[in-house]
Amino acid sequence: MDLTDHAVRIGREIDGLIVRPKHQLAMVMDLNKCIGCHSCSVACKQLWTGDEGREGMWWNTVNTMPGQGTPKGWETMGGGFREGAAQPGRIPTRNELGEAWEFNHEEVFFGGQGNKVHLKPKGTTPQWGPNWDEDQGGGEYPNSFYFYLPRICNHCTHPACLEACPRGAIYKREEDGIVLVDEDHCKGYRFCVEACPYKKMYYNALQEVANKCILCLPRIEKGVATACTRQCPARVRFFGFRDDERSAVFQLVERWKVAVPLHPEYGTVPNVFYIPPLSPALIDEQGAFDVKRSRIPEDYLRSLFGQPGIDALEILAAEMHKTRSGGHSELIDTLVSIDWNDMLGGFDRDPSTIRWVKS
Amino acid sequence: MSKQAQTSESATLTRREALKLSGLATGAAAVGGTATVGLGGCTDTGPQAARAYKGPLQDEPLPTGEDFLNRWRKRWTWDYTTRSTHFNNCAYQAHCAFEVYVRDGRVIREEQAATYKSARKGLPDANPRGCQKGCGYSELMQGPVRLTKPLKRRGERGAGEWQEISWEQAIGEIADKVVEVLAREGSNALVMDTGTNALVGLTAFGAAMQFADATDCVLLDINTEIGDDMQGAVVTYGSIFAARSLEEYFHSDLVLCWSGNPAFTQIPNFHFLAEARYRGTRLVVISPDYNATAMHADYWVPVRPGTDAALALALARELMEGKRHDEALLREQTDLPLLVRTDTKRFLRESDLKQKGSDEQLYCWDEVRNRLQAVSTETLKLGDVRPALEGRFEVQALAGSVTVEPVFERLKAHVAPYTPEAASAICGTPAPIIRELARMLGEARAACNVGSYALGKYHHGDAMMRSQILAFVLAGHLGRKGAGWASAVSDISPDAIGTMFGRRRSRKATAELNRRQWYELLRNNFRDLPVSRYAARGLSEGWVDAKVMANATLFWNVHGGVSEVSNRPWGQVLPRAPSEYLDEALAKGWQGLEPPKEQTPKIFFQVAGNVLRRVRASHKVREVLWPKLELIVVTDMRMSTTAREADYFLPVSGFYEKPNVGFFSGDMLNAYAAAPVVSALGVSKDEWEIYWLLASEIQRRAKARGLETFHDRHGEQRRFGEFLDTYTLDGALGRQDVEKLCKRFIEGSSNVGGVSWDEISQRGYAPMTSLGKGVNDSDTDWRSDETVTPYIWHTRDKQPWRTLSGRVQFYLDHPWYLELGEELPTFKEPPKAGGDYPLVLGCGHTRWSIHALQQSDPLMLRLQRGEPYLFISVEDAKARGLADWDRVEVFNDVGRFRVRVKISPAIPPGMLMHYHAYEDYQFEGGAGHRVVMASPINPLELTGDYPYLTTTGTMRQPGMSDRDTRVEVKRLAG
Repeated sequence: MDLTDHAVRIGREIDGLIVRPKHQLAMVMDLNKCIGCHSCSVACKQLWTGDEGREGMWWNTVNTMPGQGTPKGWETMGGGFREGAAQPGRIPTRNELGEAWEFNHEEVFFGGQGNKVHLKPKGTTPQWGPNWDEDQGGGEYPNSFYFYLPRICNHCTHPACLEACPRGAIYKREEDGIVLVDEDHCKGYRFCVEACPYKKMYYNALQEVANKCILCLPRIEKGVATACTRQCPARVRFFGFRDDERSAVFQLVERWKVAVPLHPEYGTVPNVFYIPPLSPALIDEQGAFDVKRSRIPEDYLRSLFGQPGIDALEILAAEMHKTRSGGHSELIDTLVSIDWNDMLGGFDRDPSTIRWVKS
Repeated sequence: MSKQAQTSESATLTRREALKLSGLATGAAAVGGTATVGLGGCTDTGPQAARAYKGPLQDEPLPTGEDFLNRWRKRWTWDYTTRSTHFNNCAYQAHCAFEVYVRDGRVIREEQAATYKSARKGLPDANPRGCQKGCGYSELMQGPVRLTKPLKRRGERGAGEWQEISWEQAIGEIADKVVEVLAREGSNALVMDTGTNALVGLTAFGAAMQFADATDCVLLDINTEIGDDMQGAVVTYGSIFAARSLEEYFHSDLVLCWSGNPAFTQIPNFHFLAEARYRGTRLVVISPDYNATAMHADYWVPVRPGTDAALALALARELMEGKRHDEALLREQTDLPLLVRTDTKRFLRESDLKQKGSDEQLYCWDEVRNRLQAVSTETLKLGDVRPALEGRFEVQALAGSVTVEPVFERLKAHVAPYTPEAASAICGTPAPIIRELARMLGEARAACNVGSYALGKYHHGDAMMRSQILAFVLAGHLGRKGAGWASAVSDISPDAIGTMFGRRRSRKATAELNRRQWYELLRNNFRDLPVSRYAARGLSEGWVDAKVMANATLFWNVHGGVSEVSNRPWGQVLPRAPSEYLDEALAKGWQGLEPPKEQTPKIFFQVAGNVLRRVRASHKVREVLWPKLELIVVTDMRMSTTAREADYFLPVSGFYEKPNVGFFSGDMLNAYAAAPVVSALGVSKDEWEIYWLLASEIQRRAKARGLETFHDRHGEQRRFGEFLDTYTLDGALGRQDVEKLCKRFIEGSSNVGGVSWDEISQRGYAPMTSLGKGVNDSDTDWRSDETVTPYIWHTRDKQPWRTLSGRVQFYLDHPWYLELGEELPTFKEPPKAGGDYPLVLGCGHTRWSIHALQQSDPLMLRLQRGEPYLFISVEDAKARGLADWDRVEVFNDVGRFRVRVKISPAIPPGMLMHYHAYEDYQFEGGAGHRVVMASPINPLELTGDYPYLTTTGTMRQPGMSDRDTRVEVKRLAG
């Protein structure tokens, strides 16, 4: 492979400088709308990972926070960068990822064993899965708390997976910043799986290659938003180019600064942003509401989103105060989006209007 | 190309300009291509015009090439897409328009159509309605739960031994048995349950109703049994229904989600709540557990399970104490100024004052003239009368001087003990929070609730509901935009539903009922009301005699053996034994039991339902009723708990495999319809055809056996020879005419904007355009570009409510209400249903399934834990030495089941949370959580012989309950 070609493919100059794509696609997820329904997970699963070799992959996950998430304990597995230096990481085990359980329907329905058998995953009783700690959360009753955190690949500006790949099989597209694994070149070494601090790189043992979220590239090319965006009934997700000033994504990330990356300290500079979660008033020792303290402890929020997350919540609260006092807020208009299409940053083509014809 | 398509296309083009930023080679080409087509290149007027609802089809080249990118691109290609939806009973959230993607004749996936226009001015659109269950339906349709061949039981019921048989054999054998039993014992020996899913899909509902009309079988009315009975709403407002469109939240400055968990049960609707909150509405969630809805609230108010009435009464007290109650509203709209005799605790009636006086003329005290004033039954307008809310008055009655006082005065005394501190001791909500909540409710401009069916699942759910309504009404929130407590889901539906089916039944009913209708016509002098409302109200007076439908709760109790566990006080101190109330109600004809006690049911048809999974204490049904049944037939698309225990399984085609109509418009007020996307899988058939085959075969076999007649439930002779004619609406609908059935329904409805079948079935939905001619209890006008606000006819037009007092009625002087001390909204200790055990078994609808439909689908199970689980609090787990995912046995005096635990600080100590609708076969040993439910009947739900407190379809019948179930859990090894 030509060395220059290689540099372009991995998205980096040979001297280590990051080559920024011309434009960067980005997503904002509003955690104040997410209800943990997993329509996004199912949409993604049905479209991309339903086949053999990918059954256990959930490119899109939704986890209850605080929690150990998917894969189990991913926040402790390392990877990413500290002060620009790559950090060691580890590959999640199959148990930590959870497997696509097969069930004994046939035995239960037709096995002639009555109630001696019941429907369950075949083999040993599972101990983890993609949504294992759903709705458990933290705190102490009645100051219990939790929220839902949907995650996909962050299509980072400084992707640890890309840097870790000795084959140069991972690249960041110049035109939109999507991070892709060239499966035709990937040899399945899994350095990328180790390196990704978000653990959003998956190993396909059947094809012996790495797989990851492709940001619904085939849809994007045709002007259709990603399945997880377009199929989110709670209207959590905004999509578009970060530099498109008309896009809601630009408004939320760049203008209002209410959308911030998850774990910025991982050093990969994500392009998925979150509007951090508000939470109901805390109940104090006297049994009264305390609206000044956050039910979700501020330290916990800071550990996820850094100080920008705390600042984002303040901006949001100030704008919500306006609407509650009978005023108007442009930020709130964007968050509400009377026309759903306005959330899609121009990628609002109706996919069912496409008729595929032989070229 | 139509004008509409052009407009929408050019609008999207503008937004798509953003794409040009990208300089995407292929993307830019796509946009260019779109522009050519959209801006005039398209002259196709055929199929394109029919697709105007979503813009014209645009050609795109199929990806070629074998590199990895093209391999991904090929995955996102298809042969065609078709609109459809999922006709499961999602209640409030029904339904969502989907596009179904087909490749090589197989459904590969589905995706929300997302082409809804904003229906109400200035408010967000509904896109992209759907949920994970809808997005994954093709897995259920084609996965291991789906069955597509007729099955006949070989071994014992439930043994899991089946033989695949032909339709001819199945229909023939079932028909033979039906003929034999009908001829021998008559219609009373046949029972049909149209489960929750039949309630929304016309193919199942129509077939069941018509088959029931042909057989005159006992048809179970399940609404109160399942717990959607809204008993508190019906006694207070006069009806359980009140359409309120979802976007009403935007007109409220305070929304109380008090019971219910819409983040689970209203997934496609939830964004309206979140958006309303952003736009200035405060959201308060009141629930025992911190849940997915609570996390999105401004305030979460914890309350002990089953004690909400104490909290509500404390709010009432605070509102009255702080003079924050809306006196003008109370004087005009409620019974609070009506006078009650202090000696008998009954309303002062004209019959107290005059010989031959009416029992239904009630009185207030006019403060202007300082005299007794008869309240009008014609209007709520007070004129120059000012009814007293407080005081005590002496009145000359026939029997001498009696003391009377307004209900308000009694209410004041009644709620006096509910100080925030005293209530807190009962309900666990801290007193400062009770005060704060009362302040919020009192100061809110417009407060509304989030509709929920949860309260009906409590034994004292009626009292909880009455108390909640009281708090809202005291604070002035009633019948205004964005304001008021409304029971639940809309009953606005395509209005042909009331006239199409069950004609023999309704003719019979009408004959029985006419004698009472004059009363209704006189009593309700409402303007512009469709005649069907009078008929419906008339129905309520003769429901029991007319045998239209049979209350399922009573059926399961008496015939199903559930009374063996329900018929005990379960820790309650009652003036009489529970069985005495039931016996008296039956003896007095307040409630009907079908079939009568002496008739043993012999045949059971299950259509689109799952009684052994659904009915509380269904293990008693399995023990007591099942052995008596000579034939159990289940028509379903998958193996349910009930199907597993059946003799014959008849495979029904799925949602994408037949024409269908949803007749339930949900809270977004759309009608749904679908044409088939693909042909029926295997040899499955639509319900219309299945029951057509049965009706036809029954008629044929009866004739072959020389049998001519059978006795119907009215004791009259019916001819087997009329069977098919009755089923087919006098021959109007043939065996393959399911599409014609749907077409008749849509095109025969006056309130779907005149949409044709072709149009609605291609688009998948059509907005409802008016309330229609059907029975509608919302008492309001509606312009389809506005939100629906119930009860405007009362608050604006001053029309009386349909209660005894003609007002929102908080005082019920029926003898049983007095006997049980519940004449006013009251807190009563929940029964210890199942025995004196320390833990309350909380239940609720899961987010993962609509009833049991998706609960055994691997796709959904992989996003849970694969097996059923039970939430337990940190404290209770610790006290019992339980670790997360331990196996436990849950037990009480009624039964026991095995399950695993999930430990969460979101669950209060003393409570378990078990989301419902797992199939029994998902539990170790095959016993699900219904086996610990005692479900005692609340005597108040049996009452009758009181104007408007009479049984009718879907309401004023006894219901089942489960939220008061007490259990203990113990750890099992392994």
